[in-house]
Amino acid sequence: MIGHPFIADLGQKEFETDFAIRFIPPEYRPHIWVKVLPALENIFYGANLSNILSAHKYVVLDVLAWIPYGLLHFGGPFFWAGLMFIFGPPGTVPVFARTFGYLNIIGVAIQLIFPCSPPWYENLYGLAPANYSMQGSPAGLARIDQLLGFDMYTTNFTASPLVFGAFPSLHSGNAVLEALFMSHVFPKLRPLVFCYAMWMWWATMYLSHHYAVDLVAGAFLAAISFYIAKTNFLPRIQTDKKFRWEYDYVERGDESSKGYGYGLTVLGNEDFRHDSSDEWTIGSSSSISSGSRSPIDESQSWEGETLASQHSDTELSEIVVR
Amino acid sequence: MPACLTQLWLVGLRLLETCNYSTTATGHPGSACLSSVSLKKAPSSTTPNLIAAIRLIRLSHHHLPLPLYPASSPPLLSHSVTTKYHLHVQPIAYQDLLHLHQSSLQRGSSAAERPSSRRTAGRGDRSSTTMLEPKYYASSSPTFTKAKIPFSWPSIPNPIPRRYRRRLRSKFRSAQSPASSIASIETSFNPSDTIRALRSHRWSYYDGQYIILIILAIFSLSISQAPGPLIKTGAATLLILALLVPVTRQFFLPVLPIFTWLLFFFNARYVAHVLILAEE
Repeated sequence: MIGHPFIADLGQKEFETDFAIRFIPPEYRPHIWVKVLPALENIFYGANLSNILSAHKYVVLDVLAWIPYGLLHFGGPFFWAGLMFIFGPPGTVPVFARTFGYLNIIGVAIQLIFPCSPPWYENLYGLAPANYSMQGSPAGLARIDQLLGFDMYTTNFTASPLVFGAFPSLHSGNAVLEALFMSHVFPKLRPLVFCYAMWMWWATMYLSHHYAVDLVAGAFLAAISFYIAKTNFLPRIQTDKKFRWEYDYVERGDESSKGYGYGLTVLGNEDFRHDSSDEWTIGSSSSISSGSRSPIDESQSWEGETLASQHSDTELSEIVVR
Repeated sequence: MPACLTQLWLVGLRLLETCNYSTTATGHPGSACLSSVSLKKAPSSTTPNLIAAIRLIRLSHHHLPLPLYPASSPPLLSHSVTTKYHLHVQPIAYQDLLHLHQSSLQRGSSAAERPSSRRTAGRGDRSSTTMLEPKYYASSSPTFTKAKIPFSWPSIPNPIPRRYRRRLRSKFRSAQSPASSIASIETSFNPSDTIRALRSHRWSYYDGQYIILIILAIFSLSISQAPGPLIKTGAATLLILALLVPVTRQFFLPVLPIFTWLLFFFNARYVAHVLILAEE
């Protein structure tokens, strides 16, 4: 009973009674990769960064690593979302929430399909093959439990639902996503929020929870998610606005990707030339480019005063290559 | 009025010819004029210079600023047609119309030129109008009522002195956009508002995300062993209820991917089990 794989992993009493008999050898779960991440680490960085950073342990560093990894990781998203809700354009936080959710769903899916062992596994078992009966470990967070005197992480991390979910690191992915969204809404805070992300990176490696490769992969996923959100869904910042209540309209996505300008949707996209020619300036004394449909008073001629005045028209049409 | 995910614009407009106006509004191709009929019915066809509140629900995918026109200028309609605004006309209730009419008669025609259309336009805030003419609307008015919260807040004394609160509030108010309620928060508790919003929703491929989320959530729930089926069903029911009530929907709808991720993550341990069952 005890020695059977899966049981300890599942960690449920009823499981042992109901399903233990029906167990099928664990060939049907993906192979757990133990050596891939340390090898990648060596290839990319020439050393095991996680091991180097966690080689020397001090209480001060423990606390410094615990703050982002064990506290801010859970509280941070709410704090950032609150800031973005008040100061960002309306609609920013829903986009943030969706991006956050999908990023994590994809991350968990990768962790399930491609299970990898975290650095603490290497510290405990070396490079021995892993199996699904193995329990998780709080690694460096056990020292925090000792320090605080109560069980905050040990039980939870030991009964972790995804023991071999080292790659990609969602701690890194979330922190980087938060940093990207925050620096989108608050460009001035960019150094601060990226310091936060780097702090998280250091903490995950110091606490032996992730290899540097995982962190980079998580950040990469976050960057892709943010890019998709920003080009398609994220409301644009209007720099003259301070609070969300000052916005009376929002435009979503990147400026260049959409053909809409103020009031120009009426004309349809086909009315404009999409090549590099600047012949369109010729029409700028008429109603076309101003976007207004009001009748033009012919007596009020601006000819000779604008960029597209008569003599410059001829010059332009000579230059334009069609 | 449907208060839905789309942004609502509350604009006051003085109608010179109500009948004329409402026929134009119904002629607008994209409009869902809820109440052009009731506007026609209003006795305003005989009395010019009446005020109507108009809500413009903009298409959610291109948000353009709608300029506020002074009460005398007509181009609001043509503008709304050209920029494809959805036009919803909120009728002023019959007794309100009467009140308006009477008060404008009382104050004479010169004063009637100035009734609070400008003010309504400027703020979308009915209290300012009420302050101007205290007996402007009947207290039982079906149109000009505040959104009611079905419970009362406990009266905790506010430590911030009233004058600072007032100063802060006025600062906020003056910064607020006069024409838009885009930043406002949904306060409706009525599930039929959600149904109405769903009916007028323009479906796109992006809505396919909910199918993926539903599949993933149901998969995670069904492989989960930890809570019993009753709790799982109860939680799912609560979630659906939260999605039906507009107040909670504005939070729970965008957060759905996060909930799905949490379900997926905490039930990842049972995935092995599913594979085993599939093998049998």
